[in-house]
Amino acid sequence: MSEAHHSILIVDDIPLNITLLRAMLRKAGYLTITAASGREGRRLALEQQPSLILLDITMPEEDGVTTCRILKADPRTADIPVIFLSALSGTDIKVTGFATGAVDYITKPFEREEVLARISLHLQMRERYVAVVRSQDTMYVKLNTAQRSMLPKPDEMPDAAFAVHYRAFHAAGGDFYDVVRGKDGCYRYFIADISGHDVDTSLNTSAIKALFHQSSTAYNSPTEIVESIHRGLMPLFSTSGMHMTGALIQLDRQTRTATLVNAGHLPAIHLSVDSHVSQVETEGDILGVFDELVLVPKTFEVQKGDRIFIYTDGLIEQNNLNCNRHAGIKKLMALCHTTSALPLQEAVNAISSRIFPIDTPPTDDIILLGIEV
Amino acid sequence: MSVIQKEDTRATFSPTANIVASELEVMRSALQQLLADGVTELEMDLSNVKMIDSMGLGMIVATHNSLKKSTGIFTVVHASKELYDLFRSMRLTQHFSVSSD
Repeated sequence: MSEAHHSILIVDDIPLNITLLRAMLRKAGYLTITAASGREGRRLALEQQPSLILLDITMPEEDGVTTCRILKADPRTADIPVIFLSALSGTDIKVTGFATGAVDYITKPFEREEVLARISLHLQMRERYVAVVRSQDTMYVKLNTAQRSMLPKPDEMPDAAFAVHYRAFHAAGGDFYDVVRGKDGCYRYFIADISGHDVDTSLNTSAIKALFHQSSTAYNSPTEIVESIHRGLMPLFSTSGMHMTGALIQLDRQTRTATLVNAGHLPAIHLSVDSHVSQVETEGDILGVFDELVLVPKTFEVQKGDRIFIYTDGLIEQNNLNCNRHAGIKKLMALCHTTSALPLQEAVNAISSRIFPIDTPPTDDIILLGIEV
Repeated sequence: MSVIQKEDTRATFSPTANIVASELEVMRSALQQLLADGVTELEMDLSNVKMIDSMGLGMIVATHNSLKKSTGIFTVVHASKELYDLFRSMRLTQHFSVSSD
């Protein structure tokens, strides 16, 4: 790629420095953007996404190290290479500069050829990095397509009367749900959260789906189904340090009973047709980790029109760094109540978007699955 | 990242950051080194930890399992109420000792 395709943001509080650098870079064929302060530099970096930033360190109000730290902390500017350009030549300041995420450090006064050579080198490295990321993105998109194709859609199983909201943090997610109709006519709804968000995690979802389907026969109780998944996961997880939490709801619409098996997962929420909301809690170990598995199933009565909600922690812990699950569950319960008059899918969508607006990128995978009796 | 106090086969591992994915590489390697050095009684002090994500929980459970295999003892101390509730809700308190402030 020629230099003309690259824009360089120069951040320096001394106008003469800006003038000299701009003339030098333009002569070499680069586009230039200039800022006289760290704050202005951050604004322009965000708005114009330059190919590279030349950043002075000694500036009033906000020094270059602080500017670089803020740029690197923001995912929207974190990948833009930063080169410090400073009269400070001590080892400590150079080490600090590199520690904030800068790719290079050039001491003033500088040689024109040296600056241009280093800029060219870092732009080439960035291009290679971008190419690798694009190729990974393509792989993730394929993986995501495959993963989503495994998840049943509510309109494909109208008798199951469920609705779902699913968002993956990465293109390939670690959260998973499935719905199976048993030979006894009961429906089984399973939701799971595998630790991690990487490719390994997402590849395991296909194994879990197979285990769930294989074990969801009429002759297996809900507890036996989860135990079977656990046994299948042990060889996969025992050496990787991974684990999975999960909740299985078996709904028998004939006898109007539901059974919850909870494997270290969050409590289910039961919204009765008369709008009473309660948590359904029961104990169980996380899956794929411990040799001895303890699960305590809980059966409860339901009426026609009741709703049951199961979900993953991404829904209630978004922007909740204190890990206060209790507050998140209370909020979710209140929303289940206020949306009770809406059709199920609309209610699920409304609850999800109220907790986490659709235009806000998630920080974890999110699943909310609603079931109507 | 973490403060480590070691005496013979006993050690206290005190993270100074939340036990989340971005911090795990360094923490995991420090824990593995302790186990490789023969530590069989490991105490994890959560005084300075406000949050543990699912990957962090995985690291804690893996540490417990490694120690269990070598008949060692793993304990968690000074967990906040929220973190204690997290361990309890996942039934991890049944597998190793977790104490709250």
